[in-house]
Amino acid sequence: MLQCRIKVMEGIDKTSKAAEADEDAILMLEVAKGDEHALRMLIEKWKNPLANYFYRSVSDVHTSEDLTQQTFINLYRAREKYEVSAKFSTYLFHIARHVLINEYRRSVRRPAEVSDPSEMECPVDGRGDLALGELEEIFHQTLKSLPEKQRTAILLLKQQELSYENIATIMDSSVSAVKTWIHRARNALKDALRNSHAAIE
Amino acid sequence: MKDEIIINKLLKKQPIRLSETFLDATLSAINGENAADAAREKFIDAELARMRHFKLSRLADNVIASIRRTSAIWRKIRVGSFAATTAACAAIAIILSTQAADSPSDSISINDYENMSLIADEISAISALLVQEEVRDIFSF
Repeated sequence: MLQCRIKVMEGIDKTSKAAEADEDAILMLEVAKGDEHALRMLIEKWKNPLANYFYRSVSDVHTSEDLTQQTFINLYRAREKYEVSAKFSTYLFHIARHVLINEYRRSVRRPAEVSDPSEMECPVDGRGDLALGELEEIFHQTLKSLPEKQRTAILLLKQQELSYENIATIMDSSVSAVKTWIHRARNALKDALRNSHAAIE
Repeated sequence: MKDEIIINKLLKKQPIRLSETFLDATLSAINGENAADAAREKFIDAELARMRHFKLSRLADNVIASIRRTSAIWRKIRVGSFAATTAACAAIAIILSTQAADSPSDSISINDYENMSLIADEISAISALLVQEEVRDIFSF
Protein backbone atom coordinates (compact mmCIF):
# COMPACT_ATOMS: atom_id res chain seq x y z
CA MET A 1 0.00 0.00 0.00
CA LEU A 2 0.99 3.58 -0.51
CA GLN A 3 3.90 4.47 1.71
CA CYS A 4 3.69 8.21 1.60
CA ARG A 5 3.67 9.12 5.22
CA ILE A 6 3.63 12.73 6.15
CA LYS A 7 3.45 13.96 9.69
CA VAL A 8 0.09 13.48 11.26
CA MET A 9 -1.70 16.77 11.21
CA GLU A 10 -1.93 18.52 14.51
CA GLY A 11 -4.73 20.83 15.48
CA ILE A 12 -7.88 22.04 13.84
CA ASP A 13 -6.18 24.72 11.73
CA LYS A 14 -4.06 22.26 9.86
CA THR A 15 -7.03 19.93 9.34
CA SER A 16 -9.00 22.83 7.88
CA LYS A 17 -6.17 23.62 5.50
CA ALA A 18 -6.07 20.01 4.39
CA ALA A 19 -9.81 20.08 3.86
CA GLU A 20 -9.52 23.14 1.66
CA ALA A 21 -6.63 21.63 -0.23
CA ASP A 22 -8.17 18.23 -0.82
CA GLU A 23 -11.84 17.69 -0.07
CA ASP A 24 -11.55 14.11 -1.26
CA ALA A 25 -9.04 13.36 1.48
CA ILE A 26 -11.55 14.56 4.04
CA LEU A 27 -14.23 12.41 2.44
CA MET A 28 -11.87 9.45 2.69
CA LEU A 29 -11.41 10.11 6.39
CA GLU A 30 -15.20 10.04 6.68
CA VAL A 31 -15.25 6.73 4.83
CA ALA A 32 -12.86 5.36 7.43
CA LYS A 33 -15.41 6.35 10.07
CA GLY A 34 -18.09 4.38 8.25
CA ASP A 35 -19.79 7.15 6.28
CA GLU A 36 -21.34 5.50 3.22
CA HIS A 37 -22.44 8.82 1.76
CA ALA A 38 -18.80 9.94 1.60
CA LEU A 39 -17.92 6.71 -0.16
CA ARG A 40 -20.71 7.27 -2.66
CA MET A 41 -19.39 10.76 -3.39
CA LEU A 42 -15.87 9.47 -3.99
CA ILE A 43 -17.09 6.70 -6.28
CA GLU A 44 -19.27 9.09 -8.27
CA LYS A 45 -16.45 11.55 -8.70
CA TRP A 46 -13.68 9.13 -9.60
CA LYS A 47 -15.39 6.25 -11.40
CA ASN A 48 -15.04 7.72 -14.90
CA PRO A 49 -11.44 8.99 -14.59
CA LEU A 50 -10.44 5.55 -13.31
CA ALA A 51 -12.38 3.69 -15.99
CA ASN A 52 -10.74 5.77 -18.71
CA TYR A 53 -7.31 5.27 -17.19
CA PHE A 54 -7.85 1.50 -17.31
CA TYR A 55 -9.45 1.59 -20.74
CA ARG A 56 -6.33 3.02 -22.35
CA SER A 57 -4.40 0.01 -21.07
CA VAL A 58 -6.83 -2.87 -21.54
CA SER A 59 -9.01 -1.61 -24.45
CA ASP A 60 -12.05 -3.37 -23.07
CA VAL A 61 -15.00 -1.60 -21.49
CA HIS A 62 -16.06 -4.46 -19.23
CA THR A 63 -12.55 -5.12 -17.97
CA SER A 64 -12.12 -1.40 -17.32
CA GLU A 65 -15.32 -1.41 -15.29
CA ASP A 66 -14.21 -4.46 -13.31
CA LEU A 67 -10.83 -2.92 -12.57
CA THR A 68 -12.47 0.33 -11.52
CA GLN A 69 -14.70 -1.57 -9.12
CA GLN A 70 -11.73 -3.51 -7.77
CA THR A 71 -9.91 -0.25 -7.15
CA PHE A 72 -12.78 1.05 -5.03
CA ILE A 73 -12.96 -2.24 -3.13
CA ASN A 74 -9.23 -2.03 -2.40
CA LEU A 75 -9.62 1.60 -1.42
CA TYR A 76 -12.37 0.63 1.01
CA ARG A 77 -10.28 -2.19 2.45
CA ALA A 78 -7.48 0.28 3.10
CA ARG A 79 -9.76 2.90 4.67
CA GLU A 80 -8.57 2.42 8.23
CA LYS A 81 -4.92 2.76 7.23
CA TYR A 82 -5.52 5.92 5.24
CA GLU A 83 -3.59 9.02 6.29
CA VAL A 84 -3.82 12.47 4.78
CA SER A 85 -0.28 12.34 3.52
CA ALA A 86 -0.68 13.18 -0.14
CA LYS A 87 -3.40 14.25 -2.53
CA PHE A 88 -6.26 11.77 -2.56
CA SER A 89 -5.85 11.29 -6.30
CA THR A 90 -2.25 10.20 -5.70
CA TYR A 91 -3.44 7.60 -3.23
CA LEU A 92 -6.25 6.42 -5.50
CA PHE A 93 -4.12 6.04 -8.62
CA HIS A 94 -1.42 4.28 -6.65
CA ILE A 95 -4.02 1.64 -5.80
CA ALA A 96 -5.33 1.68 -9.39
CA ARG A 97 -1.88 1.07 -10.83
CA HIS A 98 -1.41 -1.96 -8.60
CA VAL A 99 -4.81 -3.27 -9.64
CA LEU A 100 -3.75 -2.89 -13.27
CA ILE A 101 -0.41 -4.61 -12.72
CA ASN A 102 -2.19 -7.49 -10.99
CA GLU A 103 -4.53 -7.72 -13.97
CA TYR A 104 -1.53 -8.02 -16.29
CA ARG A 105 -0.14 -10.83 -14.17
CA ARG A 106 -3.50 -12.62 -14.18
CA SER A 107 -3.90 -12.22 -17.93
CA VAL A 108 -0.46 -13.75 -18.48
CA ARG A 109 -1.48 -16.79 -16.43
CA ARG A 110 -4.85 -17.36 -18.05
CA PRO A 111 -5.61 -18.14 -21.70
CA ALA A 112 -6.45 -15.24 -23.97
CA GLU A 113 -10.14 -14.45 -24.13
CA VAL A 114 -12.00 -13.66 -27.28
CA SER A 115 -12.87 -9.98 -27.39
CA ASP A 116 -15.86 -8.47 -29.07
CA PRO A 117 -14.38 -6.45 -31.95
CA SER A 118 -17.27 -3.99 -31.81
CA GLU A 119 -16.00 -2.79 -28.46
CA MET A 120 -12.50 -2.27 -29.77
CA GLU A 121 -13.39 -0.04 -32.69
CA CYS A 122 -14.49 3.55 -32.84
CA PRO A 123 -17.66 4.10 -34.85
CA VAL A 124 -16.83 6.24 -37.88
CA ASP A 125 -18.85 8.04 -40.52
CA GLY A 126 -17.69 9.58 -43.74
CA ARG A 127 -14.32 9.71 -45.38
CA GLY A 128 -12.75 12.44 -43.25
CA ASP A 129 -13.89 10.76 -40.06
CA LEU A 130 -12.60 7.46 -41.34
CA ALA A 131 -9.11 8.91 -41.57
CA LEU A 132 -9.47 10.39 -38.12
CA GLY A 133 -10.78 7.09 -36.80
CA GLU A 134 -7.81 5.23 -38.23
CA LEU A 135 -5.46 7.79 -36.79
CA GLU A 136 -6.99 7.40 -33.37
CA GLU A 137 -6.93 3.65 -33.57
CA ILE A 138 -3.24 3.61 -34.48
CA PHE A 139 -2.54 6.13 -31.74
CA HIS A 140 -4.32 4.13 -29.04
CA GLN A 141 -2.83 0.85 -30.19
CA THR A 142 0.60 2.46 -29.89
CA LEU A 143 -0.31 3.81 -26.46
CA LYS A 144 -1.44 0.36 -25.37
CA SER A 145 1.76 -1.22 -26.65
CA LEU A 146 4.02 1.13 -24.69
CA PRO A 147 5.84 -0.23 -21.65
CA GLU A 148 3.55 0.04 -18.62
CA LYS A 149 5.63 2.74 -16.93
CA GLN A 150 5.68 4.97 -19.99
CA ARG A 151 1.97 4.56 -20.61
CA THR A 152 0.98 5.10 -16.99
CA ALA A 153 3.19 8.18 -16.67
CA ILE A 154 1.89 9.92 -19.77
CA LEU A 155 -1.75 9.03 -19.00
CA LEU A 156 -1.49 10.36 -15.48
CA LEU A 157 0.10 13.56 -16.79
CA LYS A 158 -2.16 14.28 -19.74
CA GLN A 159 -5.38 12.36 -19.13
CA GLN A 160 -5.58 12.83 -15.37
CA GLU A 161 -3.61 16.08 -15.29
CA LEU A 162 -1.52 15.12 -12.29
CA SER A 163 1.80 16.76 -11.46
CA TYR A 164 5.17 15.13 -12.05
CA GLU A 165 5.65 14.93 -8.28
CA ASN A 166 2.35 13.13 -7.75
CA ILE A 167 3.06 10.75 -10.60
CA ALA A 168 6.44 9.94 -9.08
CA THR A 169 4.72 9.13 -5.76
CA ILE A 170 2.10 6.97 -7.47
CA MET A 171 4.78 5.07 -9.34
CA ASP A 172 7.19 4.78 -6.41
CA SER A 173 9.80 6.53 -8.46
CA SER A 174 11.72 9.79 -8.93
CA VAL A 175 10.54 12.83 -10.85
CA SER A 176 13.45 12.50 -13.25
CA ALA A 177 12.50 8.89 -14.04
CA VAL A 178 8.92 9.98 -14.67
CA LYS A 179 10.11 12.71 -17.03
CA THR A 180 12.20 10.18 -18.91
CA TRP A 181 9.26 7.78 -19.30
CA ILE A 182 7.02 10.58 -20.51
CA HIS A 183 9.64 11.79 -22.98
CA ARG A 184 9.99 8.29 -24.42
CA ALA A 185 6.23 7.79 -24.56
CA ARG A 186 5.78 11.09 -26.35
CA ASN A 187 8.42 10.22 -28.92
CA ALA A 188 6.83 6.83 -29.57
CA LEU A 189 3.41 8.42 -30.00
CA LYS A 190 4.83 11.09 -32.34
CA ASP A 191 6.44 8.39 -34.45
CA ALA A 192 3.14 6.51 -34.59
CA LEU A 193 1.32 9.66 -35.69
CA ARG A 194 3.87 10.39 -38.43
CA ASN A 195 3.62 6.84 -39.69
CA SER A 196 -0.16 6.93 -39.65
CA HIS A 197 -0.20 10.25 -41.54
CA ALA A 198 1.99 8.67 -44.19
CA ALA A 199 -0.17 5.55 -44.36
CA ILE A 200 -3.42 7.50 -44.67
CA GLU A 201 -2.01 9.87 -47.35
CA MET B 1 4.02 21.13 -32.91
CA LYS B 2 0.89 19.92 -34.66
CA ASP B 3 1.61 16.36 -33.58
CA GLU B 4 2.06 17.53 -30.01
CA ILE B 5 -1.38 19.13 -30.04
CA ILE B 6 -2.95 15.99 -31.51
CA ILE B 7 -1.21 13.81 -28.92
CA ASN B 8 -2.46 15.96 -26.06
CA LYS B 9 -5.96 16.02 -27.49
CA LEU B 10 -6.11 12.25 -27.95
CA LEU B 11 -4.64 11.55 -24.54
CA LYS B 12 -7.20 13.77 -22.86
CA LYS B 13 -10.12 11.99 -24.46
CA GLN B 14 -12.13 10.02 -21.93
CA PRO B 15 -14.66 7.99 -23.92
CA ILE B 16 -15.89 5.76 -21.09
CA ARG B 17 -18.90 6.82 -19.07
CA LEU B 18 -19.89 4.19 -16.55
CA SER B 19 -23.59 3.63 -16.08
CA GLU B 20 -25.67 4.74 -13.12
CA THR B 21 -25.79 1.16 -11.89
CA PHE B 22 -22.03 1.10 -11.30
CA LEU B 23 -22.31 2.88 -7.96
CA ASP B 24 -24.85 0.46 -6.52
CA ALA B 25 -23.00 -2.54 -7.92
CA THR B 26 -19.77 -1.36 -6.30
CA LEU B 27 -21.41 -0.65 -2.95
CA SER B 28 -23.04 -4.04 -3.12
CA ALA B 29 -19.65 -5.66 -3.78
CA ILE B 30 -18.15 -3.77 -0.84
CA ASN B 31 -21.00 -4.83 1.43
CA GLY B 32 -20.48 -8.37 0.22
CA GLU B 33 -16.83 -8.09 1.26
CA ASN B 34 -17.89 -6.92 4.69
CA ALA B 35 -20.29 -9.81 5.05
CA ALA B 36 -17.60 -12.24 3.93
CA ASP B 37 -15.15 -10.79 6.46
CA ALA B 38 -17.71 -11.18 9.22
CA ALA B 39 -18.37 -14.77 8.17
CA ARG B 40 -14.65 -15.49 8.21
CA GLU B 41 -14.32 -14.05 11.71
CA LYS B 42 -17.15 -16.27 12.89
CA PHE B 43 -15.62 -19.26 11.16
CA ILE B 44 -12.22 -18.61 12.70
CA ASP B 45 -13.79 -18.26 16.13
CA ALA B 46 -15.37 -21.67 15.63
CA GLU B 47 -12.00 -23.06 14.55
CA LEU B 48 -10.37 -21.64 17.65
CA ALA B 49 -13.05 -23.14 19.83
CA ARG B 50 -12.42 -26.49 18.23
CA MET B 51 -8.69 -26.17 18.72
CA ARG B 52 -9.21 -25.27 22.35
CA HIS B 53 -11.26 -28.42 22.70
CA PHE B 54 -8.15 -30.31 21.66
CA LYS B 55 -5.98 -28.19 23.95
CA LEU B 56 -4.26 -26.63 20.98
CA SER B 57 -5.36 -23.08 21.55
CA ARG B 58 -1.88 -21.53 21.74
CA LEU B 59 -0.74 -23.21 18.58
CA ALA B 60 -3.96 -22.41 16.74
CA ASP B 61 -3.81 -18.79 17.86
CA ASN B 62 -0.29 -18.51 16.51
CA VAL B 63 -1.17 -20.04 13.18
CA ILE B 64 -4.28 -17.96 12.75
CA ALA B 65 -2.54 -14.76 13.83
CA SER B 66 0.18 -15.30 11.26
CA ILE B 67 -2.36 -15.94 8.52
CA ARG B 68 -4.45 -12.97 9.55
CA ARG B 69 -1.47 -10.70 9.13
CA THR B 70 -1.35 -11.66 5.48
CA SER B 71 -4.48 -10.21 3.99
CA ALA B 72 -4.06 -12.07 0.71
CA ILE B 73 -4.36 -15.35 2.56
CA TRP B 74 -7.09 -14.09 4.86
CA ARG B 75 -9.31 -13.31 1.89
CA LYS B 76 -8.79 -16.76 0.46
CA ILE B 77 -10.37 -18.35 3.47
CA ARG B 78 -13.57 -19.91 2.26
CA VAL B 79 -15.96 -20.47 5.06
CA GLY B 80 -16.83 -24.09 5.46
CA SER B 81 -14.21 -25.30 3.02
CA PHE B 82 -10.76 -26.77 3.27
CA ALA B 83 -9.07 -23.41 3.05
CA ALA B 84 -5.74 -22.41 4.45
CA THR B 85 -6.63 -21.81 8.07
CA THR B 86 -8.87 -24.80 8.37
CA ALA B 87 -6.37 -27.07 6.75
CA ALA B 88 -3.48 -25.83 8.84
CA CYS B 89 -5.38 -26.15 12.10
CA ALA B 90 -6.81 -29.48 11.09
CA ALA B 91 -3.42 -30.85 10.16
CA ILE B 92 -1.91 -29.72 13.42
CA ALA B 93 -4.79 -31.16 15.37
CA ILE B 94 -4.75 -34.46 13.51
CA ILE B 95 -1.01 -34.90 13.73
CA LEU B 96 -0.75 -33.96 17.37
CA SER B 97 -3.86 -35.78 18.49
CA THR B 98 -2.92 -38.98 16.69
CA GLN B 99 0.45 -38.75 18.40
CA ALA B 100 -1.35 -38.81 21.74
CA ALA B 101 -1.48 -42.56 22.11
CA ASP B 102 -3.52 -42.48 25.28
CA SER B 103 -6.49 -40.70 23.78
CA PRO B 104 -6.71 -41.33 20.02
CA SER B 105 -10.48 -41.19 20.16
CA ASP B 106 -10.30 -37.51 21.05
CA SER B 107 -8.73 -36.61 17.73
CA ILE B 108 -10.65 -34.70 15.10
CA SER B 109 -12.83 -37.01 13.12
CA ILE B 110 -11.18 -37.95 9.86
CA ASN B 111 -14.66 -37.81 8.32
CA ASP B 112 -14.43 -34.02 8.67
CA TYR B 113 -11.44 -34.01 6.36
CA GLU B 114 -12.14 -36.55 3.69
CA ASN B 115 -9.56 -35.42 1.25
CA MET B 116 -6.20 -35.46 2.94
CA SER B 117 -4.30 -34.64 -0.24
CA LEU B 118 -6.27 -31.45 -0.55
CA ILE B 119 -5.26 -30.52 2.95
CA ALA B 120 -1.66 -31.30 2.12
CA ASP B 121 -1.86 -28.98 -0.90
CA GLU B 122 -3.24 -26.20 1.23
CA ILE B 123 -0.54 -26.67 3.80
CA SER B 124 2.09 -26.60 1.11
CA ALA B 125 0.68 -23.32 -0.21
CA ILE B 126 0.81 -21.56 3.11
CA SER B 127 3.79 -23.19 4.75
CA ALA B 128 6.08 -20.37 3.71
CA LEU B 129 3.91 -17.94 5.59
CA LEU B 130 3.84 -19.74 8.86
CA VAL B 131 6.12 -18.06 11.30
CA GLN B 132 6.16 -20.44 14.22
CA GLU B 133 9.10 -22.80 14.27
CA GLU B 134 7.07 -25.52 15.92
CA VAL B 135 4.53 -25.34 13.11
CA ARG B 136 7.25 -25.51 10.48
CA ASP B 137 8.59 -28.61 12.16
CA ILE B 138 5.19 -30.24 12.00
CA PHE B 139 4.77 -29.34 8.34
CA SER B 140 8.14 -30.74 7.36
CA PHE B 141 6.74 -34.25 7.20
